[in-house]
Amino acid sequence: MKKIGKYAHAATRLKDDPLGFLLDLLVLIVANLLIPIPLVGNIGLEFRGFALGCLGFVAIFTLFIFLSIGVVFASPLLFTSGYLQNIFASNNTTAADEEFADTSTPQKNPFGGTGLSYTTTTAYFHDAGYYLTFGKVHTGIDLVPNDTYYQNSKTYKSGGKVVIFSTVSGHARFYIDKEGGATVEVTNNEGTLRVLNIHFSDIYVTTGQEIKAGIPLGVMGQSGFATGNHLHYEVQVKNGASWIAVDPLSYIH
Amino acid sequence: MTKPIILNPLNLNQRRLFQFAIVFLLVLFFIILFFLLRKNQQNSSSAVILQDSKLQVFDQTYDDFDYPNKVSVHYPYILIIQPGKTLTTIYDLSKKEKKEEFKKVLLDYDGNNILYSGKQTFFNKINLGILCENGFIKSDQEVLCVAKKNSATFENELMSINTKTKLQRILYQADNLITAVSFVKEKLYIGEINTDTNASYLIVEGKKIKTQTPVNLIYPLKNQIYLASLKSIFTKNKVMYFAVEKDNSTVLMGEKIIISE
Repeated sequence: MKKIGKYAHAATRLKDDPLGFLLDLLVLIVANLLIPIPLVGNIGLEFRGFALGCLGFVAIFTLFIFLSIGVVFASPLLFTSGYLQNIFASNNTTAADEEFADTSTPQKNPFGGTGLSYTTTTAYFHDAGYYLTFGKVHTGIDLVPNDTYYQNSKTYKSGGKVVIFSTVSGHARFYIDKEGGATVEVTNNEGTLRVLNIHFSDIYVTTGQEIKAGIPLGVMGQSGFATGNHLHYEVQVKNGASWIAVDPLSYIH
Repeated sequence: MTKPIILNPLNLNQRRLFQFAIVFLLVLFFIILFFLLRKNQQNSSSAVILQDSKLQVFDQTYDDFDYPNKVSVHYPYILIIQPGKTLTTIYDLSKKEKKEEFKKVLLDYDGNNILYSGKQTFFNKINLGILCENGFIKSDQEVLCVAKKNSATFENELMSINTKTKLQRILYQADNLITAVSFVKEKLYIGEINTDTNASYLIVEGKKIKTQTPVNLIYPLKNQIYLASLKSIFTKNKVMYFAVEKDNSTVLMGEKIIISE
């Protein structure tokens, strides 16, 4: 009866002095924003069970809303983030992406994968932008791994390193080029074609070593003339006594 | 036991005064908040400037913005191209806000369509059947493409490609290297460098103008066309930009590139 009396009193105030009532309400809201804890304490003391019940209901309702929003919004995000794929792909990823056929002409990307799926080309063969920056002709292609590589490469997932594979079978030669770049050159067994891989940070092969296509040559780096981590991949074909650089992209299928 | 609380032991006038004081404080709070927010907005940069290796795009700063990173303008859009991250970020120069991000190395973007290269160049999902080194989306039906004359040559040529039929039409051929292409206000602009002499040119509607440095970027700003050269061996590792005057002469504006003020 006492509580009902309070509400009746509020209704009377709203009728007699609407401005005062609204201002009081505003003051209450401001006070609630500024001093929520003492106010809640006061309300709790005044209404006790009713107020505590309300607070309990609000707490549970809020928790429910958060959980619902979490399930509705987080699930699609979780699925699209690739996190689950990463967990399951670690067992499912086939090694086929990093399997190379024994070949004397390059057929695959030195990072693995199909075509250029694992890489972004930052400078093309005879790239105009490269000439415009450095004043010299770019005789290969510059490759960096992309997100698809980091998400799918079995080698990267197991070792955490960007490993470069030989794309041809033949014999290796390791040297530091005139600009300081750690280079692995693989010449095919016929001596008609050679592949230059430059800017390694770590080398896995030695000069004279017999190489099968698909053998890891080293780790991508930025040794020598480089503005960042990348692989300079160059294909040269024998023309009489000299070697001529050709567009490596035409060999990647 | 209920604790009796007297929250407001004031008479009617005191109570009204208290209420108005609170309202006054609230209004004051919102006025101060409004001015503070406005001041912050005024402080935020609306400029796009490349100086040394630092690119500022409105409030965003890109440090170490050197090769292979580059910028491209298709007004009102600016493309911040970071091939090493396989990322292109688009900003709207007229609205002065970030528009979109693509996990691709774009050649051009016109608000609806994208042009990008892999082994060959794609207009959205359409393979144009050729590898463009540089490109400009002229319309939904036409793309300007700078491509090698053939796979063995260093020289390139400018062609128009119909995006529906993929029909190619050569627009400009030279024994030099085309370095930039843009189409602004119905005018075709081409940057070119002679690889024997390293002399560089701007070609406007077929008319060749000698420029002091190679042309990397052609863009409009306040009803004028500007050229920009990125850091290179030809610019002694400096960036610079030039205004193209009405008589087609170029005037050096500074050793930075202002794309938006």
